[in-house]
Amino acid sequence: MVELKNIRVVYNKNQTNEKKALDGLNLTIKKGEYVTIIGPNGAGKTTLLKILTGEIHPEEGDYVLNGRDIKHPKPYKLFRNVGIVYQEPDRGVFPDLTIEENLILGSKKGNRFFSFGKYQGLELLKSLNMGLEDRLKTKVKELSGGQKQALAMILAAITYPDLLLLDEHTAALDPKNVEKVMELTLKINTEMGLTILMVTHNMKIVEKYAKRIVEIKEGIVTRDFMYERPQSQVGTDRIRASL
Amino acid sequence: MDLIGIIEQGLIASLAAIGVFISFRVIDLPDLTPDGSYVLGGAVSISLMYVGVPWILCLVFGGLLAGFFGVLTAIIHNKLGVNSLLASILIMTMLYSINIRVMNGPNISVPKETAPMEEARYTEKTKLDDLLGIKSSTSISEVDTTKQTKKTLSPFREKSGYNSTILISLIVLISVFSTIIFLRTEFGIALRGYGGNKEGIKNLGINPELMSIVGLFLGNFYAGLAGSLFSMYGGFADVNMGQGIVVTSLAAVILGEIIFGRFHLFYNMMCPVIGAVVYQILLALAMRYGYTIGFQSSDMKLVTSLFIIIVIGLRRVEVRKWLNLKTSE
Ligand SMILES: Nc1ncnc2c1ncn2[C@@H]1O[C@H](COP(=O)(O)OP(=O)(O)OP(=O)(O)O)[C@@H](O)[C@H]1O
Ligand SMILES: [Mg+2]
Repeated sequence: MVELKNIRVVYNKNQTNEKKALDGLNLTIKKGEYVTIIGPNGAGKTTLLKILTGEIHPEEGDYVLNGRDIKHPKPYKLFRNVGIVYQEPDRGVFPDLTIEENLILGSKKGNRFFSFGKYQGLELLKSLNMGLEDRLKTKVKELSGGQKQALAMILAAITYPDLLLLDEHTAALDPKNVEKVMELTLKINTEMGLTILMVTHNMKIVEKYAKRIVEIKEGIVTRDFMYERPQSQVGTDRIRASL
Repeated sequence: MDLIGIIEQGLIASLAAIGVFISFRVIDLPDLTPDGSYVLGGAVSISLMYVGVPWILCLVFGGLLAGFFGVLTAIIHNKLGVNSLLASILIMTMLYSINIRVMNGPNISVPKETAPMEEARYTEKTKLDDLLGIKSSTSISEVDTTKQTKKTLSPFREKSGYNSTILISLIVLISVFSTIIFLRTEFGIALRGYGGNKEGIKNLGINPELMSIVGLFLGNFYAGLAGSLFSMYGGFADVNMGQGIVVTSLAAVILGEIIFGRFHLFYNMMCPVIGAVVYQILLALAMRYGYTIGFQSSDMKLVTSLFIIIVIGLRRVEVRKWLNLKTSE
């Protein structure tokens, strides 16, 4: 479980270009939830994720992760509990390593190594239907953006983080790959049970996949609700998917 | 031309090239520390020979101490946020002073077996030649053994019982294969991953600072090992012998890459070795026949740097287009 209470972040404090990015934000996320975050540019979404990964510390407010009060985490250590995938596919994969070596690296959680992680990674790779499971010895720099992003998702997932953050992770992909990566996202949430916090500007994704929606504007949560999807829409989607 | 000698020198240089390969290619942290740590390796190992440390340990200590200065470069880079190149220039400059301290002067030569022997012969001769004459040889060996036990002699001296080519090849082979095996372990994969995506390593909860520390340690360990071996082989260490070692090693790595391409990890690791040997051969040819076009040995650094600039230039798509070359890469 993740709890953020009254989080304030101010960039360039006491300078002429001072900017309040988060202004007393409150948010609670339960284990296994799938939360979609929406909001205009500059609303503070990425800043929120940076708080969650420990890259920046709030001016004020509390951050509790699984009962642990996060005050001043070591720069990289929080990443053992919080995974993240960015918009740019290259940020989440290791270009000079093969697909297999990427999976091995992804199976590391801090200094420990989970052979189960690699197995899980292979299973996810197969479920993508991109044929990547037959190219384990291929260097990742030879893959397309969509393939890289799918792999980045898998790497982030197989460490089994307490919280998986996705910052517009489909924004650089074509519609077909958006579909694949989103299916993977859902699978990671439902089958692996990971808690996911996803930021997106893509309303089609919101309509099709969202469960809980949180809207952020000017550094605070302005709406927080469960998305009621029209039954017929879901029906047609299911049929389309099964074809 | 003494081809064996050239190949031996190339193999020694290949150790430094392996170090540069690790810092520039594997972890992608440009590092100039070797210009100083190469000398340190030689200075330390020859100094240790004077106190009787076995030569193989001298080599290892030379490497370890050089590696330690690589660690310092990494720490300055990590903790002060200075880029690795500047951090390494600071350490390299520092090492100039340190090396002179270690050697107690600008250079040092390996302990000689002949000096004490001649000394002995001289003192014994005056006494024994007059009296006994023939008995002298046994006396020499007696003096020899008692005086020599303190100092270690170079394995590259004549009649040391070692074949220099085999010895050097063995050291290079062990270095290459242990590095290949290491880079295939989980930790090695993380190290190579760090080279391609430093942020990505951090995002997996792996300590990126540890990667830079281990990487620069290894890079300078090999530089120091090369310096140690070179000094034992050549019989001396000099404070200026490391000058330009990074650039020539990089040239060797690039030469190797041209020859081997960038395929498999095994071939990757052969790039610095083959490259360094080929470089040494080219160097010898230039020395031997270069005078016909007015080439002098001091021009080699000019040519080496130009070579690197040209090869790196040819890898750029814009330059290839401009020259109407294939841009398929
Ligand atoms: N490093 C920084 N220094 C100064 N101001 C910053 C910094 N990072 C973000 N900001 C400002 O903080 C505000 C929130 O930025 P943030 O990146 O969190 O927005 P966002 O919701 O992710 O926007 P987008 O949808 O464009 O990604 C913006 O006004 C931005 O200009
Ligand atoms: Mg953003």
